[in-house]
Amino acid sequence: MTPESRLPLILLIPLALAGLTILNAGLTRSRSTAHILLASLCAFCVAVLVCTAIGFSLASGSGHAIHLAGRDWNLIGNGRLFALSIDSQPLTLLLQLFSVGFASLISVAGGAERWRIAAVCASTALLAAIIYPLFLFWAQFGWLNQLGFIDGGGAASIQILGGANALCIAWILGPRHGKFTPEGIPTAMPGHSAAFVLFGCLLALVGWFGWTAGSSANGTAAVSVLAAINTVLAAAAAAIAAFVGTRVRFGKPDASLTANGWVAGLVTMSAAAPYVKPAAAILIGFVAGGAIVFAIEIIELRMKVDDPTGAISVHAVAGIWGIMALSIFGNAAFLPQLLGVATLIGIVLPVSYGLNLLMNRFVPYRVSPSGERQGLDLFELGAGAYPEFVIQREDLMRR
Amino acid sequence: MKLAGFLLMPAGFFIAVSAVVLLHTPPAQTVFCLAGFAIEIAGFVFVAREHLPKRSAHHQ
Repeated sequence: MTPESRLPLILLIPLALAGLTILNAGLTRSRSTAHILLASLCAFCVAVLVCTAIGFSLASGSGHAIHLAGRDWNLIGNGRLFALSIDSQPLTLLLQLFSVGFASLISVAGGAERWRIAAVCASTALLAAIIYPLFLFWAQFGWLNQLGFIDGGGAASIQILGGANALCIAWILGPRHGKFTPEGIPTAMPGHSAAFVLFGCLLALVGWFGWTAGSSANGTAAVSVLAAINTVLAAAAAAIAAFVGTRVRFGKPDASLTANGWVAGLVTMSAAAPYVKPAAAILIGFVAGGAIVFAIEIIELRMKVDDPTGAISVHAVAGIWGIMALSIFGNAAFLPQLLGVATLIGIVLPVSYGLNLLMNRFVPYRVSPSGERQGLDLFELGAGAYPEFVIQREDLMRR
Repeated sequence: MKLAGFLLMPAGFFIAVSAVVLLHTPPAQTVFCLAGFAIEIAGFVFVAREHLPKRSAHHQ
């Protein structure tokens, strides 16, 4: 595909960002809705600015190499700061800006309802300046790519990386007040709008075509169409699997888990969409949707991680499945794909945790207990997202 | 234990990457790569266990 034909597809990606933001807002409580929406916007702004200033230079260029075992291995990009070398690859920069913005939104979701906006911006700067460009370079041009690692639509560099970063944030912040009883049993804190959640899902699908069908520079138009078909099929199969899974497990289908299943299907196709047959896409999506129900449960019940939107399971776990499924159903070799996942768990996760822990010393991440009780909308922004709620309650009291 | 976990994770990674780069027979590569990955997972479990919320004193 020519850059001219890829551009319209890539310009769809902001719809995925909008979809994820609305979905996350719907999955949080009403008293922090404006906060998570504004935090997402701020995170996106910081991410694109820092990526342009620093990140793009580390993720582009021919790269600095190290000679080992008879070969040169590319370790880090050597582009120019502030995207001064943009002339040769403007579309790459545009794609990277949207991608790093999306990864930052995943992290925001992991720390929802207890993460200060200033800290969101500081953490996002770390993500966009160091963590994201480093792994992106390895996966797209560096030593991982030289070993045969395939990450066509950013399943590893966006989804797993974002999910791993969200896990680090959730660990550092700790659970929301009242999430776990003194005995360690999690309590339900349902989101405030199923309408937001389900609308966000559908919006995300449109945006996802930018990654699956538009991100492959070497693909033909037929490959892009196949990628779009696989994206829809995997999302549908994953949503059905999550719907049936929650129906069997809890007696009634769960809207938020079904939505998370849908997104998990999209995430798996970030890795595999252009490379597998439609039947394989359905199977990959079905497994992702079914697994996500259990993954969310394990992360909450066993690991005791408070992940209000299920971002860690949806993006990290489904992303890992997508990357490995590519070696099962596609043309990727098993070991390079495993090595890609091993890099994310063995290097990216500890580095991300360490950097965020350090940043937490300078910019405290967590809001005060009183702020958390009050709700982040009022505490940090001074106004709620739904001021009419109070008026309605007074009307009821008069009657 | 948290520090041990965070040290085990990159240690497992280096075993896995060394296996792919330095070894030449596929079975040996696969075995060492999986062993390195298993060490990473062990490190992850250590870290995850360290982040479990502490129970309050009167419930212990």
